[in-house]
Amino acid sequence: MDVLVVGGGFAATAVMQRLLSAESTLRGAWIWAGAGASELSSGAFEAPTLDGSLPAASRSQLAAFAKVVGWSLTPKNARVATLGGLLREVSARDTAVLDLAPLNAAKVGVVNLGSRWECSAEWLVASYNESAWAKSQSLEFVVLQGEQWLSAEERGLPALLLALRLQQPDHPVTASLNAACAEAGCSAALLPPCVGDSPGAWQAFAERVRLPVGQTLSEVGGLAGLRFERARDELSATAKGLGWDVYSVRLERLTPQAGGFEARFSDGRTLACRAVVLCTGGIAGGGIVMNEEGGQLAPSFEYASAGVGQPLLAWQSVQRFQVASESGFDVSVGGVRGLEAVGFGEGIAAQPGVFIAGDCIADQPRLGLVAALSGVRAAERVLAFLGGGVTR
Amino acid sequence: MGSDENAEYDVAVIGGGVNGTGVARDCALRGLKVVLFERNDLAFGASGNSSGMIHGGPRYLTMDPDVTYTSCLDSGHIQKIAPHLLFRVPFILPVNKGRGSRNELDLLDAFFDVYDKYQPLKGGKPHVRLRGDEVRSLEPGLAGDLEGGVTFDEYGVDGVRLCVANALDAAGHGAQVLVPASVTSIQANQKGCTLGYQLRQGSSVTGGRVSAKRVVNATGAWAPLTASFAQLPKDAARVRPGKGIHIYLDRRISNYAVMVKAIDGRRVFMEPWQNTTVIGTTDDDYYGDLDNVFATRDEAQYLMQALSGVFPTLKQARPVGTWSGVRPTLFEWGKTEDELSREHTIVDHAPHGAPGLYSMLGGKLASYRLFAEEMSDTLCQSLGHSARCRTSSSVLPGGEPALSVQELASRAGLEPLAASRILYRHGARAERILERIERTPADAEVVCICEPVTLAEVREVIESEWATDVDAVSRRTRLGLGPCGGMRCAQRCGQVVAQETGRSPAEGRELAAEFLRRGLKHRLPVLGPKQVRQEAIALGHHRAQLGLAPGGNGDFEGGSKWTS
Repeated sequence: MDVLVVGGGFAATAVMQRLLSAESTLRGAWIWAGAGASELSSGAFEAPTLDGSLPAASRSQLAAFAKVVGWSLTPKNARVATLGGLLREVSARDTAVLDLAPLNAAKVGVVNLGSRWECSAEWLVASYNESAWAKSQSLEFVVLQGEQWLSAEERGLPALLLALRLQQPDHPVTASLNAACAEAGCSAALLPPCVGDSPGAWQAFAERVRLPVGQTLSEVGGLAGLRFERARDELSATAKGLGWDVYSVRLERLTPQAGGFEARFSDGRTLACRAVVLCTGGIAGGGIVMNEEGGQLAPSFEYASAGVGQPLLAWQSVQRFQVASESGFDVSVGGVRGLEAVGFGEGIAAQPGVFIAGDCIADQPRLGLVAALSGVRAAERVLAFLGGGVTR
Repeated sequence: MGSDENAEYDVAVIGGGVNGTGVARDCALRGLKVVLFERNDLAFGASGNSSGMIHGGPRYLTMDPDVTYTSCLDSGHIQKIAPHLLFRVPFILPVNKGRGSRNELDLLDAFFDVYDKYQPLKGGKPHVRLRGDEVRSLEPGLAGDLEGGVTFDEYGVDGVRLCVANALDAAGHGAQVLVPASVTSIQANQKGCTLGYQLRQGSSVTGGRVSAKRVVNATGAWAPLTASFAQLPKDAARVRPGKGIHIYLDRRISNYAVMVKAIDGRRVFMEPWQNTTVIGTTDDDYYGDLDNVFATRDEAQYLMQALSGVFPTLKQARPVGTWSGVRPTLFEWGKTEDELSREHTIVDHAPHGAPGLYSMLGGKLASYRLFAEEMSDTLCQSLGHSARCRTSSSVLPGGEPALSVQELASRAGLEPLAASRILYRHGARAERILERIERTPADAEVVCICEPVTLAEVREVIESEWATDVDAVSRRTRLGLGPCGGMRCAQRCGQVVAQETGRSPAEGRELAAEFLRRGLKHRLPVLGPKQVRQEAIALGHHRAQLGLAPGGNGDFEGGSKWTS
């Protein structure tokens, strides 16, 4: 086995996308256990202080991955509307989340479906219209009353089931939304966060409405995470088709041995591999559970370094911020910021053959796009590390 | 709402805790013209952060039997005037087998024989001595080889709701209740008293002055600070602040309260309280900021250590938060915290050069009504006002016969659980919430799923109960205090508070963020690593939703830069 990829979030999926697209035939395994921060993502990525744009080189590195997961990297300084009433800048987004930036001097309808998944459309409109950015763009938000577009039963449905209903081509929402926008003079519409169960599903709806439509940025556990999961699962099916082993287990022990490592999993299986990519998330992601052992922080799985190389760099950032221990988190030391100080890595090799990507390194705030970028770069390092010795 | 500057009040009360609201109510019921100032929020201090018990104080029986007597007597009164807010809490005090365990049980039996004499005052049952197997059959969760135990009765209460009910009744009888309003100066002389104050409404602050014939400093642990506004000597209103913390779990794990010894021999307890389990309490001298009192991990571990050894299944429940308060214990030097008296006293500051100004010091939730009566008697006597106290028999707002859970649930279209929680908090005043829902059916929306709390109730406490921010709504409704810590409801509540108080959406977002930030500090001391991770994920999303940098204001200020 050439490589073991551990993790099922943005970083690991980016690693897999890059490895699978390489012009070499790798043999490997991809494992993950449970849902992490990526699945719980709300679907918009990066903060505006990242200069509002992704460097061109990074954009190019991420393009193929973004296509797989249904993210839009094209717009610079995209603006999305949050369910908290904010219009915020992002560098990339899940494509079901409407980008407001191209809508100059437009009237945008905020739809009140009367479903249990939304808050007051009137309040959102007031909040969005208060935004200095909206004023500078001459954007005006208005309420579109759409309670009657859903049946009483539909208004009480869970978000996923409602999304499936709205995706039905003949659902009355399609025609009603189009007509309401025309009547109100709206050239785009924002819906509650209950749309699109998979990448592309919502775009099909938007095409039927014949207007830019999308959802607000939702709360934790919204459908954006599900859309990502669907994309990842499709990629895992592709990996299986190419001969990769894909299974849901937890890594319990990683032991260096001649020519690589032996990995032991929670189901008792072992696997020998030449390289390992750890994309197990940070403190938030839950991939590496930190335990205090003799004052040292160690990952939840056993890692036998055999005296080679340095301890995983992930620990240093965690120690610096005093984020996690079995007894909890001391806010007086780390502050609230420390909670989110989980950071990202860019394929840093802690030891020859061990590569780390995603949130589990360094001290930066958690960023989905950066995690994915680190995955692409880690995959490139893996390919370089394995060189011509890839199993064929 | 502002005060009537041209009016001269008979009594100005400073402090919106249970003593302050109790005095305001008592004086208003006697026909006096009253104004009450509360700097933070009603029940912000010890009243809203106590053990939530109107207990008879068996702990005080050996040192302060008068405290036990007055507590039991007043507990009986409070049960009559606020029947919706009080609930019986049967205690078990288990004794494990060991050297001297039989003697210990005999001593406890004898001790509670004495305590039984006070139980009729509060309608409590006499204690029962139990064999080990009887204790275990009552509460199978107890560990160890049990020698036996005793049972005794206490009563639980939501201290915040008790304060609010007193304030509502005071206002209903003509008192002006100003929240949040800080008294900034007190001038007291033979001609009367003048108070300078600042009233905060949203982001605006307005100043004013009022005249009052008498002023009551009922600010608990803040009493020395309040007294300093009248230029009183440093020790004129001295207290010995004692910090007490409580941990609460995500569920009730027993229908009995269990009292055990902590590592230092102090008695600590675990009690079923509303829809949670509460573990308490500590008692430590406190020298910190009274406006920002938070539990530490050490304090939490002290309590968990004491209870988890005796009740191991405690570890299967999930601690979801803490609350912390500072007792305004009467000042004494040279005693340990536990030895300090829980008595109360009224200080007349005339000898300090401030005639007409009084301080209420010490006391406890269980005897607040009696303390308020004593204070009001003093005020009436000095004012030559002959009306008698009615607070022991006059029912508090909500204490009248109320709808049944089924009727409220059916008419409002709510789950029975939601209806029962509304009825607990509001009693007969639940009809006001029902009327809102009947008027606007959308207000039946459940904003806080954990508690649960409806939109109608949020609006009601904002409009009628002086709630001005998310924290205040939470204090009155327990919104955001369940397992999710407000992650699901703070944002929505911030929107509603902003709407109802005429504030901007941006201010609503900040109100929500402030609640989450403050709530996090109360939660972190008891969260395990997995919970911390979950919290971090949820907070990250709230940053994205509300546009706030971690730990600060603004729109993601101080974020990261690209490194390549």
